[in-house]
Amino acid sequence: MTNKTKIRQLIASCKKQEWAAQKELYLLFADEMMSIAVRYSNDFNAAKDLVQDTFLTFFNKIDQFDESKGTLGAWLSRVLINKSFVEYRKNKRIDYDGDMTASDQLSDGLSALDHLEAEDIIKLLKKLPQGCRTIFNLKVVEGYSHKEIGQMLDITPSASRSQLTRAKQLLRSMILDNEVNASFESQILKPTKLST
Amino acid sequence: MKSEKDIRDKLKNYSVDWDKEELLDSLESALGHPKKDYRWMWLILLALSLIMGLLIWNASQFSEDEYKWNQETEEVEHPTQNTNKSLANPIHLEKDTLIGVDAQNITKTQDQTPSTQYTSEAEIRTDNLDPKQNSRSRDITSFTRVNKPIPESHPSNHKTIAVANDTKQINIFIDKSSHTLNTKENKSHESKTHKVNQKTAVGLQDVTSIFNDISSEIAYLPTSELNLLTIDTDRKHLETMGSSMKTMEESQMDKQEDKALSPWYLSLRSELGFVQRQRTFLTDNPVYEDRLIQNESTERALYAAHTDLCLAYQHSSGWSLESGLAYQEIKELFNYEETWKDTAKSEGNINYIIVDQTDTTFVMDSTMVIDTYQRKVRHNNKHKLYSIPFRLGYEFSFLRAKCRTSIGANYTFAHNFEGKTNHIIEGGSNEVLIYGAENNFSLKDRIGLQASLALSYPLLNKHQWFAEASYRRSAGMAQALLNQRYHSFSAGVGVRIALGQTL
Repeated sequence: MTNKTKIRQLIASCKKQEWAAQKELYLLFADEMMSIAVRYSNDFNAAKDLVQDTFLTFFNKIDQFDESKGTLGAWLSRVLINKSFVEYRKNKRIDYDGDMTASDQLSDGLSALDHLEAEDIIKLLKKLPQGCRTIFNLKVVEGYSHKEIGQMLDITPSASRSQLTRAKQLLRSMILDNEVNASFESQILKPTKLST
Repeated sequence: MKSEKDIRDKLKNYSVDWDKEELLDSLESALGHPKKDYRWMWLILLALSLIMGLLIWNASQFSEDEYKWNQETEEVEHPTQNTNKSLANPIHLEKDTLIGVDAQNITKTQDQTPSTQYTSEAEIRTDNLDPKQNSRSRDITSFTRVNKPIPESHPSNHKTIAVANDTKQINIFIDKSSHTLNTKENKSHESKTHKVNQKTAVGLQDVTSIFNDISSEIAYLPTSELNLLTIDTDRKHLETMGSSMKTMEESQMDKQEDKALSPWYLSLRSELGFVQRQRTFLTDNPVYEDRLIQNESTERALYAAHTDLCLAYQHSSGWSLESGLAYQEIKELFNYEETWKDTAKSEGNINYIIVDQTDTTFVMDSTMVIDTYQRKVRHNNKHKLYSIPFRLGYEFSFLRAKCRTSIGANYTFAHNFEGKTNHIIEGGSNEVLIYGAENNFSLKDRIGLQASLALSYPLLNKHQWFAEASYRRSAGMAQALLNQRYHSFSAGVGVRIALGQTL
């Protein structure tokens, strides 16, 4: 049985609200969803909540899932990302600071991230304001256009661009600050062994 | 955009090391597949097994003792006569009740002195038991050892009456062989057997007429001595001289307890019941108060489970003191549901082109879209309270059982909350998941109250099991804006085990 067939069968069982199938489907996609959730959340517990809410929504609205419009993984990740927006919008926590005309060039800020591992980048992302972090994730990682991001977050595309620029600047300054403080290795990157 | 691609690849391929199974429980309950919690069932099963084990162990010990005793005795056949008697006003007479009247007209049960011969008879009554037979099969031959020579050191100027009540008949014996109070006539045994039709039941009239019958037949015995025996119909016990006659089992038990058991007990109880939450708001701000009131329906108390292990001191006057370690778990259902509408401006396609002479203006088709969001969260919340109980109790007899009422206080030294709660914050409310007590509930006043009523039956000498109903008021738990406590009404079972023996 191929993976695709298995998932199709699981979805059919999930539509009958069978817990065994729901559990198996959750175990199949939980890791993937968590890796996305940690990028959009402030802390690990919030990420777990986000994953749980995502699967709850998915299982409750599984009838709406249309296989022809995309894979299950893509659908789940879209649900998760939308969930994270809902939280931010509800709590009015996105700190947009208006339209800023700025360069859309990412290389300036992001080149400093080249030598970092994914875990370290996530640690830095968590230090960003939520709005900046969300837009950074949507643009850089998920690959959405500013127009799409604007529609998702109810902001203008230029606001999305300015937030991205701000995120980029903040990331760069964080890296520079850490380098200047000479504690960069110990605070952000993996600790290096001291020679005796 | 090499950097962007690199970062994308790194983050897309990043996997989190976490225990994904830890969300399964809450997901299962949130989806309406509540996971059955068998832990309390196992605890109750364990407690019942413990009680059963103690019962069986004690019963086997008792049988061994009887068997050993039986090896050292002899049996003498004794003729009996039967007289039919009918029942009137039946009252419950305890099986195998023994009644003795000594020379001073003091009626005693077998464990009481100075009726030495009666004590001897009681021993005979016991030592003829066949350990392989049920006690209901004890028959008249059990009493025949009354012929056994009385040791010189024991006074013999008394008479003895024994009432043996087996499944079908009541046997009353009068031993005159050593009766020297009013007559020198040397008769051997005389006995009277009155058959009754209902097992272990005899009426007041029957007993009276039986005694009268005996009095008339054995003329030399003063009637007044026999009249010492009366029946107290209210207490349903044979009584004499104002003191309750005890059954053989009770007397044996009392004897052993009085002489051997320590007043110190170890008690273990488990209870389960329903619970009610009481909340007071700690804010004067009407906005917060309104939100708190609206929020009340999100949490519903389900049940409370309680277990404790205590050390008790039981005074002979009936008063007792108890203290130990208690654990209480209160379960609530967090059922959070909200619907809200969000207005979003969508940027559509360019629909209109307005041409004003040389100027061309493009107008975006922007429409307002109202999205409706709905979310439901279900979660089982758990309060765990660890406390030290202090109980003052009083034990009294009620029919064949013992009642113990107790009141006391609990000092709660630790509290743990695990679950979801709806936080009231300035901008609205927000459902959050909380593990542990940090930043959430804190113990405001640590003293809880409790009152209970226990009904116990002394099935065993050393172990006593009981059923108990209790009311408990928990310690106060405070959040930022509210203070709450729980009132639980529970019922359960427990066992008291005597610790050691007195010298």
